[in-house]
Amino acid sequence: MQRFILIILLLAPLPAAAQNPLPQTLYWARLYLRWQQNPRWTLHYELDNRQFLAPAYGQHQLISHLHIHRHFGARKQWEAWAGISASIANRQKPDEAPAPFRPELRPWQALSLQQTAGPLRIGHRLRWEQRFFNLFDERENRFAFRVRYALTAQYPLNKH
Amino acid sequence: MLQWGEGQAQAFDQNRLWGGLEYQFLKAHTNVELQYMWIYQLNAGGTSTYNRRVLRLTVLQNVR
Repeated sequence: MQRFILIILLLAPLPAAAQNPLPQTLYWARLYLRWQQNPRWTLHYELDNRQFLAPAYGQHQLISHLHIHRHFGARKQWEAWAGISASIANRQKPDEAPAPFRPELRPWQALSLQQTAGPLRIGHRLRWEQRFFNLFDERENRFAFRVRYALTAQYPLNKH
Repeated sequence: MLQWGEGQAQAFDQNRLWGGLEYQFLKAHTNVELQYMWIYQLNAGGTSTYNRRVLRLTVLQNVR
């Protein structure tokens, strides 16, 4: 039995137009399945439902991710990931009039590294995404790249 | 997160900061995790920003 505290940071420079941000509260519920194929390969599936709680109740997004991981390195501390995500999203403001769901397909690739520092397990992850989507007020498809970096620290509270 | 492409007014997309607790049971084949997350996000047109507080529940199952 183990317990961990997770502290995760993904920080990018804030935009100049960051004025009067709208406060919102959400609840995300995720089912995560992981199949260990062999010591080097794992297959992952996530189904994540995201709902607004405030300023109004409403559906925000249903997103699923299918990804495969290859572990490598002397201590298997490196992982190369490849995956695809499928999403249907509603309006970004739950108190606005309902609109057609916005679909998105998103292939992506990632590279991660796990390190130990005393009792801490430190993780770095860099992910590169190709987003195929459309905006709510348009019918034509759009494309964008997105890159995300995550720094994580895990601390075991209890270990048996 | 940073992004660029059609319809993106600015490269900035969002920042996330979170902390949580994870509990493993059933010989570590099942994990339950509760997170509290802060998201600062800019919409695609660059006209609105969102200050989001998220409660996230994850059930992770290792399949044999």
